[in-house]
Parts: sequence; structure tokens; C-alpha cells
Amino acid sequence: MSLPTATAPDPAAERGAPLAAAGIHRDAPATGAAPLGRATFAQRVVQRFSDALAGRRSSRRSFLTKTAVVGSALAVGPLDFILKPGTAYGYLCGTCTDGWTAFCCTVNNGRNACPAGSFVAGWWKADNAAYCCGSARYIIDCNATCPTQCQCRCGGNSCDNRRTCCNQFRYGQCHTEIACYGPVVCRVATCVPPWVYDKSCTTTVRTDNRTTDHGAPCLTKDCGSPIAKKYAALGGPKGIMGALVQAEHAVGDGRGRRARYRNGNIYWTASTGAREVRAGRLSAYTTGGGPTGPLGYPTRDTFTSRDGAWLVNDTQYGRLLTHKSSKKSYYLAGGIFYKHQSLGGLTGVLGRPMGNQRRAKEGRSLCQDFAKGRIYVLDWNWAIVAIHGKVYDAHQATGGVTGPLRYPLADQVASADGRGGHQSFEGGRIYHSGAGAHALRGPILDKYLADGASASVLGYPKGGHTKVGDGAGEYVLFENGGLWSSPASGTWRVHGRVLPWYLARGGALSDLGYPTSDLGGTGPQGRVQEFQHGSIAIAADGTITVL
Amino acid sequence: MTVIVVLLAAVVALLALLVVGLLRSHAEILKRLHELGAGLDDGSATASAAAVGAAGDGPRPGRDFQVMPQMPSPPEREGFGGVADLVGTGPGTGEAVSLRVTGVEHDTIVAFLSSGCTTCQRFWDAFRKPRKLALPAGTRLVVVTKGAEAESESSVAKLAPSAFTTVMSTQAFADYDVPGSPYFVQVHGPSGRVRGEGTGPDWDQVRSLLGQAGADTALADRLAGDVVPKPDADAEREARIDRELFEAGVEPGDGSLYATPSEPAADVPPAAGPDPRD
Amino acid sequence: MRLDSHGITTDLPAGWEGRIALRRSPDPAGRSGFETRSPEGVGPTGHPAEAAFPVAHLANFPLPGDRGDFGSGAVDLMTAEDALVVLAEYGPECAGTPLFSHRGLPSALRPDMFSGSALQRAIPGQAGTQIWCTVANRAFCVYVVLGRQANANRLLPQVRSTLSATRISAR
Repeated sequence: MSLPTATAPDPAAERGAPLAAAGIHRDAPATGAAPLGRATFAQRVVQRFSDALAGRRSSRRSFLTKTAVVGSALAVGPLDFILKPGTAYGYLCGTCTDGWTAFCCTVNNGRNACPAGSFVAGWWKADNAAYCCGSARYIIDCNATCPTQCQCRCGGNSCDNRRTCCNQFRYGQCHTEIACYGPVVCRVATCVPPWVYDKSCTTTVRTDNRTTDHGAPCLTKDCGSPIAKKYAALGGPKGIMGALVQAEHAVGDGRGRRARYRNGNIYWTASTGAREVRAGRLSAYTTGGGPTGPLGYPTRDTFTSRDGAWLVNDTQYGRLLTHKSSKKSYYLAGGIFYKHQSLGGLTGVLGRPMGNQRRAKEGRSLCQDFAKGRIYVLDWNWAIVAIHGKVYDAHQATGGVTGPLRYPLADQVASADGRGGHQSFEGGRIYHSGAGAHALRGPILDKYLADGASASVLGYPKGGHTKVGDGAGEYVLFENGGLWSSPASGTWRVHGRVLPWYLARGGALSDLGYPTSDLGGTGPQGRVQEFQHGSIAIAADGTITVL
Repeated sequence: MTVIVVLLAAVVALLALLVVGLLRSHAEILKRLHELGAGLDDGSATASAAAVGAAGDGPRPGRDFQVMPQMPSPPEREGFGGVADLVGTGPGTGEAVSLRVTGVEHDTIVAFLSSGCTTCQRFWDAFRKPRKLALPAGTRLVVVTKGAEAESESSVAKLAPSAFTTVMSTQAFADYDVPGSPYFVQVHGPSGRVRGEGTGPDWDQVRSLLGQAGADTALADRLAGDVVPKPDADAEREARIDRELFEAGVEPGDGSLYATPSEPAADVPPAAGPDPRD
Repeated sequence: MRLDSHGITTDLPAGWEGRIALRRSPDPAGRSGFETRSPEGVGPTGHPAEAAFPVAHLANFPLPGDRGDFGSGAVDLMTAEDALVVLAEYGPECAGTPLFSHRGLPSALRPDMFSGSALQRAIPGQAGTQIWCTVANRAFCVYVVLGRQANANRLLPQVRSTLSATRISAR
């Protein structure tokens, strides 16, 4: 870096000589006027308000000063810089009243260097600066040469509206051959050590971390790899990722890279970009196989679900979730993830996950539990089937996949009448309606299906298979009838007015026994139905007679 | 136009009334502060310190009140040499530290802790959350451990809360004759007197004890300040009565002087035992 | 109360307290061993070639633990009755240069030496001054901040007393 053009002090006209003899080398007279001559109305109001609160009776325990300064920042700083702390390098705008000096690129036509009429007079360091991709940042002060030509004013930028040519302060490590100095014209921000930036600067370090996040729109820094840039944008070591734990390295699949930090990892591929995965979601991601498993690489940084209850990361083939209140984390991968989404996701019929994928106990499928159901991935045909709601409860009540119904073969099907539906299983069906969810199997299911199922005169089942007291058979009651079945008699329907008459008589335990036919067509005696030990006729007027 | 002028006049009058009221209230507050020895004059602190010193013949608040029954009161601790400012080093930094505890406006709670004691850990943890400590207004908390020759500096550095100054100083333990860690001393800044001291299982207990000791201090100060000399006439009257009683044979300590006024002599049946006046 | 460290010794007057600190140089290897360094060799806490020199903070008010070298963090807490004196040493290459040409610590501070603009960061009501000097062949900047410029006549006697009681010994 070349030395700045320094104007040699004019001994003859050196003002403030008595002060200089005392070791005070700031240019006199002091330009201490508040730089509000060109400030906006809002800035002047805020300045007066700040003075009124803090300048006259300042108290070391008062927070009003800080409040006024924050108010100043909010009044003049662009909202996107204030409300998006993770944007770019997390820089903070400054105001004309916050007491700091503007950056040179703001007041020097975009050049991050000392302007004419100033010289490199000193520097300080701020640690862990996102601007320098996590390394320390150096601020070099450009003080006005003597005699001071500039005037104290606001920087004039909507974000970096800090003052220029106001603060008569010097850090003093550079150009110590120049004693007289004017106010600080502007600040150079650099990641280069100052003694490299300007050979006149010594290595004596002064530190002030209160300026770590000071920035300006004209300050940009290329922080290297996409992961490094992401890390810097997230605040670096002081940000949400925390300190670096393992430097960036290849994942090993020929596609992606990863860096580990105290609070999580950042992954990158050319197609997914650099994405962070943190906290419990990282644990779930690792459990689910990580980037080389069924989830793939993360495609989205952490976001909050619409209902505010979950923290979520999307991946190429799934999703990572952390339940905020219980702090439990899960992953949804592949077919299970898509099935869950197709059924409404977290707010759908299955509800929230209650665990990760696992092998079913009897070992013929993968499954994943949800609050209101389960999803199976069947080993023999890779079908992905969901059971939920009342059907799920009824299936569980019969022993689930280890009971007589065994595995579901397909998702629920809604009936044409809109009153219910059914789901098919290896060992039967479960019908659900307003009358509940009930399983049907064996000859009764066959007869029900042959008669037209829920569209038949029987309607939907009202209960499950019930054994008859003699142990010979069983029956199922439906909305409008019943089916009785025994090996000796077969499976037949009793419905309409006959049903209550038959049940009142004792059903299959009555003197009639099991039905051996459905109710027949109309004959001379009316409609006739056969039973094991007799027959009945129902006349047109509804009178039932035992023949 | 006239209406506007009248309205403005009314508003101005109201504001003037408010200002007068505020000024009066402010004056009242200043008067109370002065009475409490916290006046704003340069001389008031000295005066109040002198007044406190003058009350030293009476009970010494925070010294004669035992904060914790099981802890010996400071006068009984032979090694206690009086409140001292703190000089030591910062943990992990080697920073030379000197802290004023006496002759300052603020009070100071000096917390003597160590890195090894189990009970101390609760205080180290509590001090990490300064807002939840509910320190009395105008009170500074300083943590003191023994010096590097007796403490693990790295351990203290890890434990040291960022919101408060921690000083490593074996001399401070000696100056305050600290019986053990944890231990707390609350010092009245302007006078350098101990307002209270003691220990407890957690910060809430200690704060409560120190607050009680502070209240006792304020009470004692107020009592001392309320002592009023008797008028001469009353003193003369008392002296005359003493002479007359003595001449009548009623000496100091005579039982007749202590008879309760609720014992009517005629209506109460005679006691079973002998009359004590026989 | 005596404060003594790194060749800086001071007998603080009543009501004053102080710190003398020497910042740790950046660890060349990095604390965790995994710290990345920039191509220029700068780590998260600086470059190993940085030279730290002692900085003394002397004040008549309670000093907070977290302070910048020139008192940031402390100046924010100052009231109208407060004063802060910073003695910041510079490297031996600075001793005797024109900026540090004045010999000895300042002793005769006057109100007219102070200005509301001579502050590291302008804070309404406060005033400061920087005195550059060489003492015992050691280069120092003496930075004094007054909580309220109008109170200079009341605060400066304490500041003068503090500086008079300060001795710098040669390295």
C-alpha cells in the first residue's frame, strides 16, 4: 500500500502551539459542533431527544441513553439492515448521533481508502468479525492533516450516516513523525494487518470489540468458499453456528462438502447450495443416514412451520423437524415423507411424527408412527400405505399387523355415498362410518361384498364379529340388518322387519336356529325365509308367521 | 380566536400547576434524602457520616445484630480489621485490579467465593444472570477469591461472571477475616461501615438476610437520630420526686414501685401465701 | 490505594479505583487447533505479530469488566461527576517521535485543554483530551475523559492528583 499524500505541518501557522507543548497535538480550534447542519429533521429531533435524556443528567444506571441511540438507529437505518441480522455479514448501520465516524467508502466516492487531506494516523482491532470471515478486523483512522480543511458533518448515507471530520481523536500507531492531526475524516475497514497496509504503522495493538459489527453498504468482502460465506453471513463464530470445530472437507460421495461447528453443520452441493442444519435436527439427520442416506442434502435453512410449533429443515428427499415445546426431533424420508405430505403433513390426518422410521416388530415392513396413525412400507412390494383415524384404532384393537387382519394392502377408500369408507387388509376389511369402524373377515365379509357391501340393504357394520352362544357360529350387525354364519348353515342375511323379530325371539339360539337362506321373493304366503329348524313368512302387512 | 387564546391560557395554567407540584414533590424527596444522609450537597455525606459516627456509642447496626445465628458476629472475630478496599488481580488476565469499597457513593456487596466449594457453585451460577439477582439499587457486587497461590486461576476465570468484577486476592480474605466460602459482606459506601454480613445456601437467602440487616441499620440510625434531650423543667421535676421518695423510705428497686396498676387491693381475695410485704 | 503492575505505579486518591491490564497476544496455533486463519495470517483474535502493551484505567466511579482500550464501555456509564484517566503504552519505536515528543506525564491539566470533540466517541456533555508523551523511554497516550465539561474545575484537581501520584519506571 502506498503512503497517503500527507500535507506537511506548517510550523509558522501551527495553531495550538501551547497545547502542543503540553503533548496535545490535536489541531486547534476544536471543531466540536454537532454535525447536524445538514441533518434531516428526524435526525435533529432524535439528537435533541438524546441530549435531553442523557446529556444533562446522565446516570451510570440509566438506560435511556442507550434507548435513545437505538431509537436513532431505527429512525434513520433502512429496515432491511435492522430486521435481517443474518443478511450479508450482519453489519449494523450507524447514525449521525451515535458518535462514531463514517467509513471511507461512504464519503470517499466508494474508495475504502483515506481521502485527500487526510493521513493514516492509527488503528484498532475488533475480534471475530464477520466482515473478515471470522478473523479479526482492523479499522484504520484517517485523520485530517493540519491545518484542518474539512468541516464536521454527517456522512450522508442512508445506512452509514455516521459523522465525518468531527472526532478529534487519534489512535496514534501510524505516522508518529506527524504530530499535528485534525479530526477523523473516515475509517478504513480492512482484514489486512495495518503494518502491511501502511508501512508507517507499528504493531502496537489497541482493541475495541464494540465496533466489530459496524458496517456500511459499500463494504463487501469475499469470504471464500460457499460454506465460508454462509458461515460469515450467519454471524461467524459469534453467530448461530458458533465456533468452527472441523474445517470444511469433502463428504466423500463426490458431490458435497461439509464443515462442522459447535452448534451444527453446513453442507454444500452445487445443486443445493450451502445450508445449515443445527441442534436436534442434526441428530435426526445423522440418525437418518445424513447426506448419503435417504434424506439427501439439506435444501433449506432452518425455518419455522406455519403453526409456529416446529423448526424445520427440508432436504432433497425428506424433512427434518424439531418440536419446539418437547424439543424432540425427527426425520421423514423418502416414500414415508411424500405419503405424509399427501395426507396433509403435520396438520393432516396423520398428525405429527411420534418417532423415526423403524422395522415393524414382526419384520415384514418399515413403519413410522404418527400421532393419529402409521405409515408402512411393505417389504414384498414396496407399497407405502397409511392407516389413520378410526380405522387405525380398530386395526390396533384387533392386534394390528400381528392380529387376524395383518397388513393393510392399500390406503383407505371412500364410499360413493360419502358416508364412510373402507380399508383392505390381508385378512379382511375395516369399514368406517358414523357407526364407528369395524373389521369384517371370512365368510361374513364374502357375503357382505357379494350383497353389495355398504351399498346393500345392510348398510355399514355397527359392530364387529360376535360369537353366538352355542359356539357354532357368529354374526355381525349392520345398520339395517345382520349376517349370520356357521359352517353348518352357511352365511345368510336377516334384515328389515325380520331382524328385530328374530333377535327378540333369541336369534340363532332361538327355536328357529341359524338362517339358511336370505329373505325370498313374494309367494302365496308372503316373503319366506328359511332357518335350520323352520321357516317364517312375512305378509304384505308386515305380519311375521312361523310356518 | 378568543376561544383559542382562552384554551391556551388554561393549558398553560394547568402545566404551571403541574410544574409547581413536581417541584414541591422534588423538594420533599430531597428533604427526605437529606434526613437519610443521602443528600446532594457535598457536605451532606460528611454530615451524615459524622452523625452516624456520633451514634457509635449505641448499637452498631450490622455488627451487633447477628445475621446468621450460627455465624459469629464480627466483633467476636479477632482477626477482623475493618472494611478495606480491594486490591488483587483479575482471573486469567493478570490484570491488576483495585476496587474502592469505602468512601464511595455506592454500597458494595463483597462475595467471597472459591472455585472448589460445592455451595459456591450456586452463587457462581446465580451471578451469571445479573437481572435475576435483584440487587438493591445503587449496590455493586464484587466477587473475591483467594489469589493464584491458593486458587486455580483458570478455574476462577471460567467461573467468573461477565457482568461483575472478580478479584483474586488472598489479602482481602485476611483483611475481612473471612471464616470460609461462601461469605458475603455488605458495605455502606459513604461511611465504610458493614451493613450486614453472613452466608446462606443460595443467593435468595443471602439477599434476604442482607436486606434485613440493611433495614435494621436504617432503623437503628433513625432511632439514634430521634433521641431528644429532656427539657430542664422535666429533669428538675424528676429529681425532686426522687428526693421525696427516698425521704419516704422508698429506695430504688423497692417492690412498691413495681406493683401492677391492675391489682385492686379490696376486690381480690387475699393470696394463699404470705403477703410479700410482710 | 496502591496499584502497581508492568512498571506503572499509582497511589489512587480517595474514591478512585483502577485497573492495569495487558491483553493476551493472539494464540498462533489457535485455541482449539481448528481455528482458520485468513490468507494474511489473521485469526479470530488477531495476528500473532501484534504487540500488546499495558493499558491503565483509573476512575472515580466503578469500572465495568468489559472495556475497550480507550475506555469504551466505561465512558458510557459516566455521570457528570465522573472522570476517567487512561494510560495506554505504545511500542518502544514510538518513544521520542514527534507525536510522543513531550517528556513526562502531564501535570498541569487545564479546562481549556479539553473538548467535547476530543473523544473516541462523541457523547453529549463529555469532554476529553489526549496527551502524547514519553516517560522513562516509554511512549504513552494519556487520555482523560470528564463526565461533564462544565464540571472541569471540580474534576481536574482529582485528575491532577491521580497523575501526580503515578510513576512510570523504565523497562
